[in-house]
Amino acid sequence: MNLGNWMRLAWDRAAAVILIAAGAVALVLGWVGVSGEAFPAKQLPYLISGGIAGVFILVLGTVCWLSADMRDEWTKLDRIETALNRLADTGLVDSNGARPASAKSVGLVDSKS
Amino acid sequence: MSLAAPPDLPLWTKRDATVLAVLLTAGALLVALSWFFAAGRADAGDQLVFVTLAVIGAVVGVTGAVLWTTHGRRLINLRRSLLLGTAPPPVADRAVATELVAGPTGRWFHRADCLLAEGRGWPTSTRAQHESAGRHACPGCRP
Repeated sequence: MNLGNWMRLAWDRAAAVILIAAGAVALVLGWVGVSGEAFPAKQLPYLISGGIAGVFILVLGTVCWLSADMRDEWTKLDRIETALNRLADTGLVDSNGARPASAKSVGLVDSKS
Repeated sequence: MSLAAPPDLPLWTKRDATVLAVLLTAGALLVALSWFFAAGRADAGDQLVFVTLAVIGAVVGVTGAVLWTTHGRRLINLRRSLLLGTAPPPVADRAVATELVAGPTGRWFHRADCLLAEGRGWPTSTRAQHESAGRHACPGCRP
């Protein structure tokens, strides 16, 4: 899979990588800016734009990555639920069977169906 | 078959996305405005209030991020436990022997078939002998 395809399919992870890189760059630039100034009045704007904004962007990137992970996990649970429901529909499992029965018993499957 | 939790149920609702967007935007605006106003002042003392505002903006944004992720994580854990249940507790290897053993310098005395004593060849003694030697009952096999 080339980079373009990956960015299209995993746009949330691509955004996370870009944001984390941007946050890291902002932190470095902030540090460079602060270290090049002698007066606190000149340094504090770098602290805000480089330091605090950099951390903010890093957090955004981290949230993007975590969201992508959670979406993947949610999709897997969708598949598991579909498989369990299909299994429950076959009638091949005992009503006391472990997984299909638990899917019904917890109310994820409508008892009227 | 109808499902109480349909497979296409979204992990985050529009309301969750709105809360996140509002908090992130407010946080980003606070940081940007703080930078803008701090950069226009010559006195560091005057700038400190804007640094504080920028920190507050970052905290507002991070709060949105934390709410977003904890909500998602909580829903996933709930759904996973509903679908898959919890793992059955492992069958305990219960020691049942009545002979009590202990190492010569040991602090605990065990049942002879206790996992902590098995294969060590420790001598058997009575409970009174173990206790008089200052040993205590093993909290694992509870002799």
